[in-house]
Amino acid sequence: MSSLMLKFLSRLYTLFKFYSTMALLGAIAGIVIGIVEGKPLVLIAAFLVVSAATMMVLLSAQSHRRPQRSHGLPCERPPILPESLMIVSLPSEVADDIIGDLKDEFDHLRSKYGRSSAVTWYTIQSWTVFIKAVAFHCGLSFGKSLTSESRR
Amino acid sequence: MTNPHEPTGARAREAGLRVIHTLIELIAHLLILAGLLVGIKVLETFVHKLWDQDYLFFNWIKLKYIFDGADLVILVCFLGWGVYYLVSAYVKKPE
Repeated sequence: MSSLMLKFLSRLYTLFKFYSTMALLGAIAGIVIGIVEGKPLVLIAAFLVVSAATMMVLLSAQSHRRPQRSHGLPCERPPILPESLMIVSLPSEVADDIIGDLKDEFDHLRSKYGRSSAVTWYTIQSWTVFIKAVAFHCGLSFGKSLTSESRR
Repeated sequence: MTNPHEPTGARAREAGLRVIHTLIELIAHLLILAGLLVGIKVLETFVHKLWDQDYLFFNWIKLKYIFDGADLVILVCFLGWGVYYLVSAYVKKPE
């Protein structure tokens, strides 16, 4: 009976986390809609800024591109934008190792769970690495865990 | 789902367990939903008491939008995710 109660409470907690996050996202969406309604130009400006930043990252990554390593598995490229973000943000001495490790794991996940799961995982990992690298460049302490990431 | 070759009693028991699981899931969702909606409403009333009605942040963003957005997303999530989990709880084989 008590284990059933514990299960129920744990389920309640999970649901609470999910719905609270959604409420927070809804509130943020409300703010965004408010801003866009007040000044529609903000939407265009945001679109332009995001597009320009994406193009800059892709172009910069293109100029820093390293030769692809060949693996035994049939090769498929991971998503370009997350990879480009890592190429641009990571120090050159660790970039190859981290990107290579992530690529290996991406191939493994793709063969096991399918492309969409692998792409989702790769994107989340690359954004994590990107945020840590930016924090490292800015001298923030949690960016130090980037080196532990590269050692894995 | 239920195996047609099982005896009727066992099938009825399994169906009952499925219904109980679904009801528990539904109660959990409704409890959290009600709690959060009441919480948001209380917060909104409190904030409206602190400031004027239809307070504008930076003379720009209506405070009402923020709370309405939160309410709306919670309800939409309940209709999508909640219903999906209720159906899953019913379909899943009871332990």
